[in-house]
This record gives sequence, structure tokens and C-alpha cells, in this order.
Amino acid sequence: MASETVESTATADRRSVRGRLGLDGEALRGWATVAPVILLYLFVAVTPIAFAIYASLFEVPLLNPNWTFTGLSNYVEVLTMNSFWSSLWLGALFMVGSTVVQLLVGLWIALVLNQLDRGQRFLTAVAFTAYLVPTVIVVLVALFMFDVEVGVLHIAGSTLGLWGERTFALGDQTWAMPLVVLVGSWKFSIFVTIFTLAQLRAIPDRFYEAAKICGASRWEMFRDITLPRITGVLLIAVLLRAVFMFNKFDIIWMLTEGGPAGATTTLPILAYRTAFLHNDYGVANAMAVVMFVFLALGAYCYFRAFDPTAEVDT
Amino acid sequence: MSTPTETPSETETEGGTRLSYETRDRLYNLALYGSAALFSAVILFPIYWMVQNAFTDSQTVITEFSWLPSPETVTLDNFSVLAAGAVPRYVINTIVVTAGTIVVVVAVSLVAGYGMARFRFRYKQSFAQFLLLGYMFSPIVLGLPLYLIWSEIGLLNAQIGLVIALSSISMPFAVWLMWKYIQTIPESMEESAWIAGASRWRTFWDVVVPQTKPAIVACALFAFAIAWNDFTFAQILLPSQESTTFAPGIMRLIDQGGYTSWGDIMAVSLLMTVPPLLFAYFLQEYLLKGFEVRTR
Amino acid sequence: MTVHIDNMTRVFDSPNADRIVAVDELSLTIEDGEFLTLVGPSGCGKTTTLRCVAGLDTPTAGTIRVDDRDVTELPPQQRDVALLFQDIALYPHMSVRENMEYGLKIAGVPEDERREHVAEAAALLQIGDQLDKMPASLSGGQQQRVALGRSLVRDPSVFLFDEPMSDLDAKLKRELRPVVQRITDEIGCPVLYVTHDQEEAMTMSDRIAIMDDGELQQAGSPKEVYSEPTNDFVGEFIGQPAMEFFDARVESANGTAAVSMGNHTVSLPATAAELEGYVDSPVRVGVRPQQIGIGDPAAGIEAEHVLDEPLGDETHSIFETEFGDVTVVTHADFDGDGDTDYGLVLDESATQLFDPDSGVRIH
Repeated sequence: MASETVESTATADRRSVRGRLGLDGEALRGWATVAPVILLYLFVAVTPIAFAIYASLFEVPLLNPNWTFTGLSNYVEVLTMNSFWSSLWLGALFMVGSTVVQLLVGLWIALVLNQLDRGQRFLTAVAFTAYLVPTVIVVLVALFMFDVEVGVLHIAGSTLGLWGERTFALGDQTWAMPLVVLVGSWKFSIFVTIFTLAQLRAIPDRFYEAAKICGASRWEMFRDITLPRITGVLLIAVLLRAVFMFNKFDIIWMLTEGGPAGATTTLPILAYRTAFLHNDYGVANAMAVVMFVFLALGAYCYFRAFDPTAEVDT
Repeated sequence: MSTPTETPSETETEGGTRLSYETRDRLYNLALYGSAALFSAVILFPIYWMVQNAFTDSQTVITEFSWLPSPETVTLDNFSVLAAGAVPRYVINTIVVTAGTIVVVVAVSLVAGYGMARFRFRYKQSFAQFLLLGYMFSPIVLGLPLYLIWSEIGLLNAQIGLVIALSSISMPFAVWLMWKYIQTIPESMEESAWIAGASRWRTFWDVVVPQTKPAIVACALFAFAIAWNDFTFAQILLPSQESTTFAPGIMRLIDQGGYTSWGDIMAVSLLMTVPPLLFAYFLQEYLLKGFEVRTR
Repeated sequence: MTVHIDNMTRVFDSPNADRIVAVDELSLTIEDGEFLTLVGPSGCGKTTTLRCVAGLDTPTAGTIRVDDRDVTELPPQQRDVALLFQDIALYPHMSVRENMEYGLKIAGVPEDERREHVAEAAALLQIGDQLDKMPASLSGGQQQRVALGRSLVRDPSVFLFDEPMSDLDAKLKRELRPVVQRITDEIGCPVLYVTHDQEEAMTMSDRIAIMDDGELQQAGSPKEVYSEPTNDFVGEFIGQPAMEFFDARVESANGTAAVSMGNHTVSLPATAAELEGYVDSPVRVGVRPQQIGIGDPAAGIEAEHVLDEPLGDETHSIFETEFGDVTVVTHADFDGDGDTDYGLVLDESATQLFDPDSGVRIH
């Protein structure tokens, strides 16, 4: 009965005919609402990446409009550059160091915050404050605190014998990289805390109560209840932090500009230097493409590990 | 065989011989509150140091070292840095760029979030996926190629160019939040307004927008943080000293060696830190709501 | 105003499954001032029908007319209807007064006139002292009154209700029913009221339309659909407790008809000629629980008492028979005994016969 009705009135089936073409008013309006976002993405992300790939095939002196097609030779140049490999190594060091410190500190703060009976609001506010202080201010205060004349941390370090009285710690071969990692972690550890805290608060109290009745110690409760619950979110946090840190430019550049003698020159710093100080825009774009590939790999892992579109309801 | 291995574990769980239950509890609390105190100190000390020196006579800052401010050297003189020189221009530029970014992000994400929540269209899922890719945008990767593109089309050194770039990287968070938030508003409210004769657009303004306020505030705060924090995009896309924002501006000044008055720098640093703290403090409810949706 | 729904069909495309026919060739007329209730189980297409009339949905085929104006494709803004939603849908960011005058504001009515209309409606609904409150601070019943007031001030040409009371408790429902009736009388336009609650339908309507599986089963006055259901679905759906059914066989003796159910036979107030075609064939006998008496096992269908549900003024007693469990409305003092054998005596004048295959009522 029902299907006959549908067949016989197929011509009068106003909605679904247009619907099948994907062109009814509703779909058009839907696309219109997201069109500005698509335009922004095209303009600021898709085009630049395509342009970077294109430009990486040319020799592009920045101040000269004449491009010379050189094929893959920029990539060959990049891959044979000593500074490329050393920047990759330093970048990995910076990435792993930052991620580990931020993960440990961030998780620790989250666990402490979750357990505190008093002062929880205060510590939350304090932790958020670090995240809210603009990066440039973090850098300015750090530069001040490591100042050779009156820097409080400089004086503390030299008194402890970590560095000499006249040594600028951020300009020291040994200390530059660890200090950049630590200054960055001061600001960014809370990212891991925010990620973890929501998950921690979602664990029902009765789980712990049940464990207590069974006589579990605090460590056992952490190992058997807390940790399994937050492993997923920690993995995501680690992945995101690693990807972001590999592409971190601002805090390193502002603190050291990649120095001393290249001791903190990670790949983003090298690319920036290549483009704007060595005037070799094509090679810089080849580096940007390499960084993009790294990002894309990160994105792929992110989508595989945790399918964010699962919650998309159409 | 099993008896000797079991004995120590038993004493441990019962806490009988080694440490009493109370002692362990006390140690645990010591570690807990000790950690809290340590974190507070590590986070607060640099801020305290900035504030203290911002109010200290700039000559004293670079000659004498003191843990506490002394009444003779307390001064507001350092804040005069905002009255002359290049710094006020940088601050104003930052405010302009931030305001522009907030407006663009809120307007675009509100409309897109509404569309995603209320219209059915094909490939919505693919669009959502495409949107999330934006989390992977990195200013340095995009900034390098954008430099030449922007200079070709005349957006280099234009603050609107920076606004566009910053808005784009804020989109994934903002649109996702708006979308999820608007989904929680019952559709029947809009339908009720349509039936009362209100057009779709008017209903959007009268019924949807007022109820989306928490999400709007969260998106505005997020856009504010992105723009206020930005260094990389501004450094690349605003190379001229006139148009650039605070972060690249002050770094270039310091670089050129023309600027080493720490007192002045701490004063302006304090001023740049206050707005985000104030916003976060007064709008913390909204902020937490936003983070909740995001970390879900 | 009169609302005409002609041959309306609404088909939903679903990407994974077959298409769903929510409403199948429905034809229905709501006269001016008539209170018509659309009732049926969930998923029967009643809400889809209402949404099509409101303009929130568009029929796949067929037309909807208000008087002579074809409104099938008109957007909701141009229909001049009022709709009361199940979830009430008051705007939480507007005060009660702003909620009530919103429609007038859209229509461009000047402020002092708006205030007057709102005050009138509020007085009628006894919410005059609530006007400056926010909806969230009102109780569910008061919110529903505000929603009614919102529709009342607009003086619509068609009034629609989408299960407006299903979230309210029984006491509030009883309190609100007369209010709804007073308001709709006041406006005097056609009313389409959708509910799954047959009691609501029976108490409020001029006419009831029963839908099942997208198709209209019967439309008629409450008394009509109660006493003369067109089929067993309507018989079962309308009336509380639900009609009981017995598999039976029509027998004819000397021109008068009777039905035999197992060992028990009930003679019918009909001649064999009236049951042409069904003599010696199986039928379903439907009797309302109010029309079943309790007697000796020999006098009726053998039954064993299971339990009593005393309601105060009457008792619902459940018996086990060879036809399954049967509910009987008994006297308030009735106290069943599990060890006694009972017989269920059907009131022969109140029995109804249904075709066992199509479910259509024969007699």
C-alpha cells in the first residue's frame, strides 16, 4: 500500500527529488552558513600549503620577482644540509623534553587539584594564570630573571655553581635548551592539566569507595582505577603537545633566536632564518612542507586514536 | 612456601608494623599540600617578580637586588613608558587586531555553528572532519607561504591580514563549540517564533543568539587569547614597525639594543597581563563551560 | 475558518533504511470552532500531520487548505496559526510578559496595545501576578498557562496543540483541561489537538480522529468512537480499561444469531440475516470490561481470579481464562478468591463483533 502511494506520487514528491540532488533550499542555506569558514580555510590554510609545495620547487630570492624552476633540488639541498639534520635532532630534543616535562607536571597538578580538600579554587586560579600570561610576557620576565646583572634566577644559578657569574644562562651552550624547555613548560603544562582534570572529575566516587572497602591502598586505587580512566586522554594530550612542540616557533625565537651558535635552532627556527635572513624562500618552503608532513602524520594518528567525528550527528 | 611471601604484604596492607595508618595519612597530606605549595610558588614567583619590579624605580631595578619592595623606591614612573615612544603604538595595534579577531571569530562561528546545528546537508560529516584539521594548523608552517601571498595581494603589513590569519586558526574550536552549544537549545523555541510570524533571521537574533551567550563569551575569550598571545603570525605578516603588534614590536626593540630598562618592560608586561586575567576571572563560568565542551 | 486536509501523504527519506511513510493519504476536515483531537500510539503520524498543518513540515503529496486558501507550501510565518509545544518552548531569556507579547511585537502592534492584550489574557489565565517573572521560576503548570497566553493574545485562525500536557502530572492535567477549553472557546477557531492519551481526547474533544500507522482509522464524536468503533484497533485504543477480545464462532439457531466462545454461548440481539456471510465462521468478540459480569462458572466463561486493583469507586479484577487474561470492572467491594471458580458473563447487548482478519466491526 505504502510503497504504491510513493510511486504514484513521485512527481509530487517535492522534497526528496530536490533533496536527492542535494540542492534543496535547506542544503543551500546550510552550505551558505559554513561558507565563510571554508573560505577562511581555503585562504589561510589550503592555499598557503599548496603555495608552499609549489614554491618549494623554485629558487626564490625573496626580494627578486624572478623565480627559477629547480625541481626537487630544494629538497635535495635541505636533506644534505647539516643544519637541517641538527635542527631535526634539536627539534626532537625540544619536543620530547617539553612533552615529558609538561605531561609529568601537568598530570601531577591535575592529580593534586583533584585531591585537595582546601585551596582547590585558589590553586586552579593560580594554574590558569600561568596559561593566561601571554607568551611574550613569559619571555620578557624570563629574560629579566636570567639577566646577568640583576636576574634573580641568574644569581640563584651562579650561587649554586650551575653557571658562571658572567654567563648569560640562555646564551650558554649547555643551558639554553633545557631552560627554553622549562620556560615553555611553565606556561604550557596546564594544558595537560585541563585535559586530564575533566576526565578525573568524571570518575564516580563510588569506584573509590568500593576500592576502599576492599582495602586498596592509595597507590593501588591510582593504578587500578584512576590511571586506566585517563590513559586515553593522556595519549591525546601527548600527541597534541608533541605536534605543537615540534612546530613551536614563538617562545624559542623570542628567548634565544635559535642561539647560541644554533644550540636551540629547531626546524621552525631554521626555516624562518632561511627565508628571512638567508633570503632563500624556496628552501624555506621546502622545510615548511616537511613540517606540514609531520603535522599531517600527527593529524592522522589523532584521527585514528580517537575519532572526533563519531559524535557528529547529521 | 607461601607463608613467608605473604607476611610482608599483609603487614603492608594492614599498616600494622611499618607505618601506622595515621602516619601514612599525614605523610600523604604533607606530599599533597607540599606539592600544591610548590606549584603555587613556582607559578606565582615570576608574576610577583614582575609586579614588584614594575613598581620599582627603574634605576634601582638594574642596580640593586631586593626580595621585597622598599617604600623609598616604589614608584609609578615606569608606567610612563605607555605615554611615549613606540610601545603605546604596539599596544594599540594589539588591541585593534584582538578586537578584530574577536568580532570575526564570533560572527563567523555563530553563523556556521547555527547552520551545522539546524540545517541538514550532505557532507556535513566531511566538513566537520575538515574543520578539525584546523587544530593542526601551525602559524610557522602557514606563515612562511602566507608572507609572499599576502605581499602579492597587499595584505602584508595590513592588520586585517593578521586578523584573517588569526581568525582561521581559532575556527575549529569556535565553530565546534557553537555547533554543540546550539544543539542543546530546543528547536521548538525557534519553531514557536516562526509560527508567531518571525522570519528565520529575526528568530536567529531574538531567540537563538541571546541563549547562545555562554558560547559566544567562550569563543570571544578564546579568540582573545589567540590574538593577544600571537607572536609568530605578527612577526611574519607585519614586518613594519608601524603596523606590528606588541610581541614582535618589543622583541625587535630589545634586539636592537635600544631597550634595556627592565623597570619599563616589567611595567608594560604587567599591563599586558592584566586584561587576560581580568577576563578570565570575571567570565570563568563561561570559560569552564567552553573547556568542558572541548575536552569532551 | 475551516481546515481541509486532502489526501495528505508525508514520506521521510532515511539514508540507511527504506523510506518511512509517516502519514498515508489522510483526509480530514476541522470545522470552524471545532475541537478535533488526533489520537493514536506514538509513531502513528499524528505529530507529523500537525507539523504539516503548522507549516513546520511540508507534505510529500496532497493539500492543506484553510477555507479556500491553499497553504500546503506556505512557510509557518504566513499561516497565522498558534502551536502549543510539548516542551512548552518559552524563551528563557524573556520575562513572562515579553514571552506573551513576542508575537504581537513581530506583527508590529504598538506597545500600549500589546500591554492591554497581555493583561487581558493574563487575567483570563490567572497569571496576572507572574508577568514580570522569568519562565524558569514558574512551575510546569504555570509555564503551560503562559504558553497558552502567548497563543491567546495573537488570536490565531487555527490553534494547534502538540501533546502539551504529556509532561504534567495527572492532577495538573485535570486542572488545565478546562483552561484549555475555555481559551479555545474564547478564540473560536478550529483546534487540532494531538495526544496519545485517550482520556484527554475523550474529555475535551468535539470530535476524535484516531490514527494508526499513518492511516486514519475513524473520526467521530467521543460517544461515537466509543460505542461504534469502526475496527478492533479503535475499540481497543478508546476506553479505559481497554476492550477485551475473545475468539468466537457465529452460530445460527432459528434465525437468531449467537456466538460460541469455547463452551460458552452468548446469543446476540441480531438476526442471522444481519450477520450474512459470518454464520459458522470465526469472529472476534469485543466487550468492554464494564460490560462483563461475574457469575457462576456454568453461567459464563470459566475464569480463575488472579488479582484485584481496587481504585476506590470501583475495582479492576483480572481473571485468567482460556482466552488469556481478562480485566473486568467490578464493584468496589469485590474481593476475588483464588480458590473459587468464576464465570465471566458478557452483556449480550454490549458485545461487538469484529472480522478476525481485517479487524473491521461487523455488528
